[in-house]
Formats: sequence, structure tokens, C-alpha cells
Amino acid sequence: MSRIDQFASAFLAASKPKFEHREVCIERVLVLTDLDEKLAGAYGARVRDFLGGLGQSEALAWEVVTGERCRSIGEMLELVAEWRPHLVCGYRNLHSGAWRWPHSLSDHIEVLTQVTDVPVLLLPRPGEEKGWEDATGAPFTVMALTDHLAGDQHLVHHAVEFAGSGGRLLLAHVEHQAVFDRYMDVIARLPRIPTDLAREDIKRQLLKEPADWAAEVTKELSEAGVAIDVRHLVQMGQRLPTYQRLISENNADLLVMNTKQEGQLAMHGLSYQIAVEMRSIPVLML
Amino acid sequence: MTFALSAVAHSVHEVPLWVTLLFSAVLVGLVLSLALEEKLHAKKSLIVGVFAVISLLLGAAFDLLPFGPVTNVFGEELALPVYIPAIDWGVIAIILGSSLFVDVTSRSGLFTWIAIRLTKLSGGDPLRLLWFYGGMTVVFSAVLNNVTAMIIVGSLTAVSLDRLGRRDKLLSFLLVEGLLTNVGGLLTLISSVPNIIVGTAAGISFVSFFVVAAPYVLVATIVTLLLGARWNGIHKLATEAEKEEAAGLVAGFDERDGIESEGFLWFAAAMTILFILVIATTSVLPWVSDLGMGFVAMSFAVIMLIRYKAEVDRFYDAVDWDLLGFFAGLFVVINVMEHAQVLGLIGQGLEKVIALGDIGGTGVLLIASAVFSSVTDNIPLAAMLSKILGGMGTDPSSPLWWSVVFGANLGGNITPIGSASTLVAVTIMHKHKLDMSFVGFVKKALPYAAVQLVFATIYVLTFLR
Repeated sequence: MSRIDQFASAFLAASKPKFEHREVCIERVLVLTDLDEKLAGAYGARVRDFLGGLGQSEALAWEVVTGERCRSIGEMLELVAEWRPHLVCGYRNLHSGAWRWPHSLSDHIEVLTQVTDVPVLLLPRPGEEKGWEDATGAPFTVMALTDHLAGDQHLVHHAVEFAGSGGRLLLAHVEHQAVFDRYMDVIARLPRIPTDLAREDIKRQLLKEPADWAAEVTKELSEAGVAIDVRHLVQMGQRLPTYQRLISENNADLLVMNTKQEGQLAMHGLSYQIAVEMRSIPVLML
Repeated sequence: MTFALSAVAHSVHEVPLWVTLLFSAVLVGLVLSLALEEKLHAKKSLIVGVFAVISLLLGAAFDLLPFGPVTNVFGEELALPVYIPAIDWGVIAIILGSSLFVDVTSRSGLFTWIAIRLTKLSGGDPLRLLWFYGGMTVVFSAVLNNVTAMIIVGSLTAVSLDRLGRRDKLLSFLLVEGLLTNVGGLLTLISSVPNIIVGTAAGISFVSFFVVAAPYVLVATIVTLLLGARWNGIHKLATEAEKEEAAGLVAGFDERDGIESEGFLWFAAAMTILFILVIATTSVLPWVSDLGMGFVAMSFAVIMLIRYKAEVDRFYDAVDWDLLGFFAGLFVVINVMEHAQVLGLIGQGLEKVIALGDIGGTGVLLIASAVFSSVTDNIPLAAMLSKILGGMGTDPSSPLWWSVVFGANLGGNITPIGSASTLVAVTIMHKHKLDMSFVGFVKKALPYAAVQLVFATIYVLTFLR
């Protein structure tokens, strides 16, 4: 490694993202259902209960949509464009009979997350209590997770908003062990790169960046006087089982994650996996 | 026909002129090969090594070399290969010790800490950043060496301008910084290799060197920065909103990121100050004065290495062996050239230049040194001229020494191959996909170099004569 690269690396490592606390404006909430009016109303009430501590909850404008009003995806998108909500709530397999088989999200939800910029809160299906039986209104324990945690202000702003005053924010980042092992395996075959040094330094840097970001978030929230307990959970592992374990160990009430990936029409791979499989907890998809 | 050495006062023996001319051709070949280093795709040490081998073989073939035992200070006779005493081991020790010391000190995070603190202090204002980085380049060049200074400041410039969204100014910043490395390289006796060689040969002390060079360095730095800002359209931020945004962006730099240990950081800072103080006072310190600056540099390197006692080999790997090999080979070539009376021949030419008078001779020597240094390495020039001036018994207070010092350093600013630090500046430009050809560099750098050389000539002729 040349000395130019050495110093360039030192300065790049020292150049860190800054976090600036901003409140998220949530005043209009749209609840999408595929139910008739009576059941939709009951489901809407349950959602209100769950989001009881959100912002100025008494001032929130709510719109609960029956199945009749947005049977097609086009109708749903028109409704969102017309009503301009700050948050859309829904559940997996909306307008789909595939809910019996827990292997997908449904066309409605997938298109909604990728076409609009509105955050989508994925809740348990009507009649299911598992996942939100204990959580009725903030403060919540919110886990923000992504494979690119460092520098993601949007994600943290939403997580802080949903945790509410007195809540707990868990900044979670799991580095993919299998991918890391694959690269280390390649490096071990390259004589010009010292394997042990590469393993040690790359691993340390991979974990340091999200940890530094979490420290920055903690510092800024504290300076901004936000009453929230911030913890960071940064580790290596197989992503899905590790996230599942972290959720369970930390009694998280809500997951917050990004679903969009630049230059891609489909939902971000890991987000899709989590959204499909993490049925035991509400998921906010940005 | 023989050529009798008249100017250089060392062991004189007669050498046929054609033999001297043959060796002169070898020397010209070396200089041209160094000038074409990039085209040859060969490292300096190898180029000069090849010429050292040729010179030694020819020297032996023509019976020019003083084979036989060497008598040491104890009066003992030692069997040493003829090329060993040809090398100035004092200079090699200074360079090896200093580079090890700087390398280990860098590891403490001290230099990155200073650089980032200054960046934050600038508030991200481009004009203030140019002045801060310019000042830092000069100080780092003076205290460390100009290549390390360019690497540190150039790398930070690229990262910080990128962060500030001012990438369009990167080329201008790197150019000005590159030019300032050679100005900063003038500040002290150990700031650049030509200074070490000329200063050692002339017997100029560290303090005397600093006192003479500092006023020029100060003025040249200010003028270069003023011109750099003006010619490249680098202005202050106008609105409060712009200032606030820029300050927010540079606030994201964490100066503590590279610091492994707070204690070692402070130790490194203290050792750097102590190193400068001891180097500055080497000539008057009891015992140390006899051991010399090479001993001081090596001692400080050893003390710093204790911190990394289990992995010192990593620092040995990072030593610029090409540079050290280059010096060793160069000293051998010059020694052979001395025996072949080539230096005497050049000395005769130099006598004619000096005969132009105090003003003409000094001025022409400065400009000629600059022009020569701009197309090839300034170290052979400094080594050769020092040997010749020393051989002529030139007084340490003579402005001729300073003509060589100013010319050899500032000549590096005319072309990208004129000095190692300008070459580093161009390397960083290319690394960041900035277009900078040889001619392009000369076009941009020549106006600055011309101003610096005019100032230097006036300074030497007015104040040092």
C-alpha cells in the first residue's frame, strides 16, 4: 500500500456522516384494508390504539379504507395520491388469498413501497393479535435496521418518531458473515494481500462505521434534548436469524427499515426477506 | 594530452582528457536517464545502480580508484571495498532516521489530528482552507520532508473538498500545495535532501540556515498563496447560509479517529518538538555534536519504534529503500567522477560563472541550478556542486551555497518531474482523474516558479551577498 493510499484512507475514515435531529411530520394516516366497512372500522380502531402515542395523536387525521375502495393497485395509488397521507398502514397479502401461505407480501404492498415515498407500516392481519398484543401506543422499543446504517438520517428520524418520548431506540446492524467469509477466502488466495491483517482490519472497519454512526446519533439526540434511550447492536452474523434473535432478546415492538434500492425496481432483497418472515412484529417500511 | 585539476582541492592525479570526457559522458547518461525515469519505467535506485557499476568498472579499468586499506580514526588499517567509503553515511543516516521517525510518529495520528483540526478551524471556507493548507504544507515540508507533507496535505485536500462539494478546485489546491512543498523545503537544514547535502558540505549550522531561509520562505509562501487564490478564483464564502452549510460539513471530520492511544499522541507531539530542538542544537550539544545529525535522527527513530517493538519490521518495509539505494549509488558515481576529474572539469566551467562577479555569478548559478533541477533530480546537482564548491574552498558565508540551495529547491517547481513532491502532487491529481500533462503542469506552474525564482535571486543578491 502506498503512503498516498495510507493517508487517503486515514482521512476518509475520519470523514464521518453527521446526524441532525429532525422531527417527522405525521398528521395524516391512511389505513388500507380488504375488509367490509364494519370490520375495516374495527381494524382501524385497533391501529389507532397501536399508534396512540404517535406525535399529536389526538390531532391525527385518519382514513380507513374498505376493500371495495381499492380493490385494484391503480385505485390504491390514486387514493394515496389524492389523500396525500404521511403514513399508510396495511398488512401482508392485502387483497390476496395467499395469506394462508406465509411466503409473500402481496402486490399491493410491494408496489406501494416502491412507487410512493410514503412510509408503509406493515401490521398483523385483522384478527391476529400476535405481534402487537402487548404494544398499545408509544413509548415503543423501536429497532432500526439496515445493511447500510451509517449516515441514514431518514431511517433514524422515523425510528425516533415512532419510539416516542421515553422510548428505546435500537440501532441494529448485522454484517453478513457469509459474504465476509467469501471475500476473505478470495483474499487468502492473493499473495499480495496479507490475509490475517486484511481479515482483522476489514472486520474492525465494517463494525466501526455503524458503531460510530450510532455514537453520533446518541450524542446528537442527547444534545437536542430528545428523551430516548439509544443503544447500538452491531455484529457479524447470518442476517435474518441474527435480527430475529436481536428482536427477541431486546423485546422490540417495531422494526424500521428501508425498502428502496437505487437503480432497482424491486424491493431491497434483505428488506423483502425481513418483511415476509418477521411476522411477529410490526414493520415500518421506508 | 592530460587535464590537470586546478579548482578542486583533493588528491590530484593526472588523467588523460579523453578519459575525463568518457566519464563525463557516463555522467551525462546518468542525468539523462534520471530525467527520463518515467519513460524508462525504472526506479531511481536501479538507474543509478547501473551507472555506479559502470563507473566502478571503468574506474578500475583505467586505474583511477584508490584501492588499498583505509585508515580509520584510531589509525588502524581496514580492508574496505572502495565503494564503501565513497558513500556519505552521515546523509544516509539522517534520511533513514528521519523517515523512520516520521513514519512511526504518523502512526500516532498526530499529523492527521493537526490537519483535521485546521480543516475544522477553516469552517470549510475555500479561501481560508487554501491558506491553512498552504501554511500546513510549508510547515510539514520544513519539519518532516516535502514528500510526506504533500502526501498528508494532498490526501486531506481531496477528501475535504469532496465533502464540501468543491471538487472543481481540487486541481488548483494540489498545484499550489505542490509548489509550496518546495518553498517549505527551504526552511531548515533538514527540510530537503539538497539542504542536507549543501548545508553539511558548507558547514552551515541548523540555526544559521533557518535564520537565512525563513524570511524568504515567509514572503514566498504569502505571494504564492495570494497568486494561487487570484489565478484560480478561490474566494471567501459570501452568504451566512453558505458558511453555515460548509461549517456543518467539515464538522463531520473526526480528528480522533486515527488515534490509537491518547498517551502515545502526546508522546509523539513532545518527541517531534524535541527532535526539532535537538537537530537544531546538534552542533553545540556535548557528545551529540561529535556523533552528528545522523545519530540524532536514528536515535529518535529507535525511541519511537519501542512503542511498536513487536512489529518494527512493518516500518522497515515502509522505508523508501529506493531513495536510500539511489543516494548510495549516487555517492559512488560522484566519487568515481571525482577521481576521473569530471568534477574538476565542471568546476572549471563553474569558475567561469563565478568570475562573472558577485552579482552575475551568484545570479547565474541560482538560475542555472533551477533550470537543471527542473528537468532532472536536484540531488545529483546539489551533491556535485557541493563537492565542487567545497573543493574550491568556498567560504561558508558565500552566497554561492545559497544559490545552489534556492536553485535546487525552487527548480523543482518548474516541471512535474523537478521534485519528488510535485510528482506526488501530480500522482494525486491522476488518482482523482484530474487531467494534468507534463506541458499542462509547466504552463500552470511556470508563472509561480518564475515569481519565486525572481524573489529568490533578489533576496540572495540583496541580503546574502
